Amino acid sequence: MFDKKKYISKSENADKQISRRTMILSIGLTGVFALMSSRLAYLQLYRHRDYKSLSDENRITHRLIQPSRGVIYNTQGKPIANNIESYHASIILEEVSDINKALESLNLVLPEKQIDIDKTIKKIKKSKKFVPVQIIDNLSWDEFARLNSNLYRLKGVFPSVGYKRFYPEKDSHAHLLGYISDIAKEEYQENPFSKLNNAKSGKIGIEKSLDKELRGQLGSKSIEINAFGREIRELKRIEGKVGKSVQLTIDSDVQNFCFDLLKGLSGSISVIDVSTGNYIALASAPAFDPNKFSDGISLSDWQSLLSNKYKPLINKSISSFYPPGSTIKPLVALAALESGISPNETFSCSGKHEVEDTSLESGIKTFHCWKKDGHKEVNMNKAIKVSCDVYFYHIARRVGIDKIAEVCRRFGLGEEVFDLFYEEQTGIVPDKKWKRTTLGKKWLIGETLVSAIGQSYFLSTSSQLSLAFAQIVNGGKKIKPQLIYRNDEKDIKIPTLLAAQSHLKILMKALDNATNEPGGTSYRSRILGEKKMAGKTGTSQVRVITEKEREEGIIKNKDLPWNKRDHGLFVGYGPSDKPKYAISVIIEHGGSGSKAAAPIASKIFKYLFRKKMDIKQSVIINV
Amino acid sequence: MFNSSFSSGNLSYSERLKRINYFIIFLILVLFSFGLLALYSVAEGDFNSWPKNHLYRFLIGLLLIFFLCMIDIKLIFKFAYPIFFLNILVLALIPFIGTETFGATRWIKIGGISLQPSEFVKYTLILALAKYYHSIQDVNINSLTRLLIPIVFVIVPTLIVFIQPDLGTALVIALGSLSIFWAAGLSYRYFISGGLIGLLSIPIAWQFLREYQKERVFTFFNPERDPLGNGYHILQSKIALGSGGFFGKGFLDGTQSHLNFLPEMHNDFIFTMFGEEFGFLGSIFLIIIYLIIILLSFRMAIVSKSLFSRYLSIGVTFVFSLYVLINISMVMGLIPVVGVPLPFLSYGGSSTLAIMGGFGLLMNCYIHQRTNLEKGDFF
Repeated sequence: MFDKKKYISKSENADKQISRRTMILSIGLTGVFALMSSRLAYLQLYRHRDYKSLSDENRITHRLIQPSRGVIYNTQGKPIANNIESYHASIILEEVSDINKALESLNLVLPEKQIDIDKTIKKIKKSKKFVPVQIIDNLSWDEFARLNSNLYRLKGVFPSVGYKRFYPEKDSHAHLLGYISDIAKEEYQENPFSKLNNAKSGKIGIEKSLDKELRGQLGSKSIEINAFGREIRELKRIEGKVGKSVQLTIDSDVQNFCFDLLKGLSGSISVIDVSTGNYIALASAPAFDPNKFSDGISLSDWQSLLSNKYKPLINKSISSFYPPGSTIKPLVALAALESGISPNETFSCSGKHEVEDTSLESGIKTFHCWKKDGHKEVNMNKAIKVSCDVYFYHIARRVGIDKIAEVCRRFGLGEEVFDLFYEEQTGIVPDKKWKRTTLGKKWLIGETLVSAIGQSYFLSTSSQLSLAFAQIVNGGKKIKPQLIYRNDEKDIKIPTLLAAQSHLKILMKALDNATNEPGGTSYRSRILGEKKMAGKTGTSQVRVITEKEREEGIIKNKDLPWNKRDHGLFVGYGPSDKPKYAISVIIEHGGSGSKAAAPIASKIFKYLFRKKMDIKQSVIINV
Repeated sequence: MFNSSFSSGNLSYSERLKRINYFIIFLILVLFSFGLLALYSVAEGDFNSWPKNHLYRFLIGLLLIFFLCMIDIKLIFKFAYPIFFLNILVLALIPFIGTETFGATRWIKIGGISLQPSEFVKYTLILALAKYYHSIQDVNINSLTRLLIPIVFVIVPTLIVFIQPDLGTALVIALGSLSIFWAAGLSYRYFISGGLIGLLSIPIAWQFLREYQKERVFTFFNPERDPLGNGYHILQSKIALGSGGFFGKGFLDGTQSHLNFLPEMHNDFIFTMFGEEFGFLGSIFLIIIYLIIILLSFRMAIVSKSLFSRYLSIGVTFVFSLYVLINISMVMGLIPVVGVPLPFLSYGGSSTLAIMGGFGLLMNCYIHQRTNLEKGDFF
């Protein structure tokens, strides 16, 4: 019994012990549960806000929406730069069972595209498996149709439609409109579109200068995504703004006509309406097809454009400058008239003009007239008509370079015509101050003489010369040159007059004679009929003719290498009695102005006189 | 208080049925219903995938509870060791007859059903230990020689599971067995020195951890170390819970879970999913139910007459608590991710069966609370 008692007491002890230890265990576990609950409260209550925003960040992503680019219209109201559908083939990896096979069958359907299977697979594998990857760009309509009809055997391949910039007029409007291509690294900061995947920006021409307006404003959408980045649904959308459209004053018929006349040549033509200041053509040759850039230009095409010695990428009507040559003479004559020189005063031309020059051994520097034997007695009218250099040497010495420069600037030389293009050049109108500040040297009298015939430091662009002539023949009214129709046209101000009517009449008479009277420099290009053209030729030298060469006979242009030949210029207007258009034609290294440029101008005027102008203002914007 | 028939030990089936603690069964049903809701949400409203299977498993589990209630405790007592050894044997054979999933061999296929013997060994080890300490109740259990056998009992399954590799289950096996030592009255000295040895052996155990397990531990201590890799899951889990707030995002409206930011949503991370959709309110409710079950189970444990039943009940309850604690702490970022399911909510079949089997044993002990057991004949 003792044993049993012992057993019982032991088991009672054990009883108590188990109960106590179970209690400790229960309390301990309850404590741990309390700890766990406080952690739960910390996460779900105290830090709820933080985690809520993290959760939203997780599931919401923002995508940018690219607005469509504004359209550029010509004066007829037809688009000359717009957006057209482009066709592509895309692939979604997760919907393909055998990628190799899929691409092989694609090659069978579109044998002319022959995609590189290994390269394409690499490209596809880089993207997420549910994101469509574009594998063939720019399918023709025919290829696209074939792709569509064969879709049943191309599982995972999809036809997709995008947009690309299209220039229906191709190269004839190339420089004017410019082109668009991938956004360059330098633009990243200021162009918000750089955040987009495939966004492009204007590179030259209107596309560049009005890029901000044309591209519009980015829209955005918030979308819910899952952990793999797949779009689940759209939550919010902020619409962007479609790019603004613009209408140009350019008449594509005239532009194309001018461009065709420049075929095989290197040069430019600008045509301006003298009363409105609207440029109706601004052609430059040779050119390029801007559509090539929309598709992504090939390296070889791009390099051939860069290395071409005729510089097809340069807009020669605004970015190339030339010595204006004799086309400057009407402005020099105007300076003379304003300085009190009578138009009837005559000077004798013996073919050369001598000026004292102590720096030379002979003490005399000789300046030649283009005509070796001289023009005999010359008054202002004849001087312009036959383009006598000696007459202008004489009056230039009396008038001085500063007066000549002042008149030239007043008519728009030496400054940008359009105030629009990034690539526009101002040229140079030299005077004493200019030489002192830019070259740090004293002006020489000889330079005045050479400047009077548009050589020496003088440099002008084609559009500047046409503007200057337009302002001479429109009654001296100051023009605000235009390329884009704008809303602010309405406030017509009383025009600023640039010169005395009497002086301008003298110039116009002389210019008329230069074309329409026998002996005039452009007589051979005159237009027979009611409406006539008038204008001034110019031949600007790109090399110095030495005394030795003069004695031995000047080398003919055609015997010189292309880039040593003279530039041929013609600036004119028409109809001569009631001027409507002014035109400048510059043929680079084309020889004399009367032979190379005047005939082209003549053709344009004939065309313009016949043409019925068709202006449909459809879009006018405030830019 | 109790009528005399209690002491006989031979109860009729109807009496057994009557003595079942139906309140615990009810609480289990509540938890299971939450599990069904959560799985329904994980399955994006498709009942036929996870929820349906989960329901089947639960019904089998309920049958198992009732089946275990109908068995005489003497039978369980008698076969405690053979069941444990059989379990160890199957566990040891897994590398040769098991199937491999995700780089770990844990499953064994019997007639189309995959079972995970390591889930059951948690409970069979408790059985064996309970019987052992019941058998040696008259002697000094604090002598080292008496400690040798139970330690071997614990170490063998723990090591087998650890090298499978399944750190979480190994942890539950080892920690779960501690409850028996504790209840048997092992001196505090052993727990303190055992704890010290455990701490000191961490560097040695570290050598045996797989790379991914080490990564998980590293990540736990510094989640920002690799926010897109290993730290990603735990971070996303915390975001899901935290963004749920007080009321939650609503049933079927959890964004973290439905947009696939959470891993293993139907399994180890089901609490996260639940917390995101039902908020603090739902989660704390869940935790409280778990705690009530645990506390009630401990109460049920100490009313038993035999030591075997007490030890067994305490052990089963403690293992159950470990599941809950480790799982919830893990998804809240309190401890490294070790892969322990949440009872009645997680989708695991073996763990559901094992846990319910555990409750079956608990209930059996409760039913046979007045039954005396012999000290045993094995040792």
